[in-house]
Amino acid sequence: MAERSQNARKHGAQAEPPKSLVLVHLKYILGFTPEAGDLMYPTPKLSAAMHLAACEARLDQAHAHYVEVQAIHRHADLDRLMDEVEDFLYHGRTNFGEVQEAVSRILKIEKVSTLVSNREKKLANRYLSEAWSKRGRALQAYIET
Amino acid sequence: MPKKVTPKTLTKLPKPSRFLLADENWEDYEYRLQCLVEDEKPANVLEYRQLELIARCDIDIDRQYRMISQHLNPLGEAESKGAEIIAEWHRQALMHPDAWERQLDEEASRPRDPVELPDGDERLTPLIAKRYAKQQYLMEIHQRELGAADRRRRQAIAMLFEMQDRRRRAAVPDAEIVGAGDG
Repeated sequence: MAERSQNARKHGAQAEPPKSLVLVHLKYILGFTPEAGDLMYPTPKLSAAMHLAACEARLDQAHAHYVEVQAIHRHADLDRLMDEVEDFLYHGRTNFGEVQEAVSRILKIEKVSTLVSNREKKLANRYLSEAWSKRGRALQAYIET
Repeated sequence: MPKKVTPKTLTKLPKPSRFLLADENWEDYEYRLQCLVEDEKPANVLEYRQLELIARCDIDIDRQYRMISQHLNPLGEAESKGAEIIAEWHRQALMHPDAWERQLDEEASRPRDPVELPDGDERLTPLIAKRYAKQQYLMEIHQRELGAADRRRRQAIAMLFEMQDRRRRAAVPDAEIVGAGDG
């Protein structure tokens, strides 16, 4: 389980946003391109802006993932598996027991396919909520410095 | 000398299309954003960004309503792919092979009619209710996401007002104590 969550942090919706996107946000927030030296030893204001930029980039990433998942109501791999069982029904020389087994498997895969896509929707919503609240806190901190 | 941000450099932020589905268009998003800009008159990039987020939340809310209505449409997509596969297989098993081949050819040549949402027909209410009961879990997800998008929108608006208040307060000079030493 822990391995899976680490994997999501490395490659999935919770992955570190690209540095270029964070820099664009930083430029957007400050109104100018900061010097490399300033980024090495930032003032409290610049430090807050850097944190806010990172949160903004993460929010964009989480929102894009959230929108992408909204259109998916089924799991593509499981649908392919279902198609394969369908092929077996049409093209295999099946007896009654095998047909029954195939039908029951199709219904089981159907259930899992919907469950998986619904779970992904819930996860995407959670990631977006987390990114949103982190960004809210970062904005508050930036305004107060 | 730091380089100033111009409209050209601002466009390097993610395109709004990244936050839209295929059935949504960015012109609608731009129009909403423009209306918000006209109403709220952002004074800096942070306020402008806040308006962008509000516009995104508006689109999210609309999307959820649209999806709920699509899922409840009694003339809409099949409820279950698995059930469709099994029904089709049973139909084929009961049909004569020639009739089956003919039907396949006809289906391949005939384009599918677009499904239209029924408009105000009360006779469809029982069908909609049945669909709602069957897809209750999915409905719960969409309704929860609708609530979450609405909450995000309210938070974004509250934050925008707070930022505007701070800006206005900062413009007011501090009061000076006059004649404090005159006893």
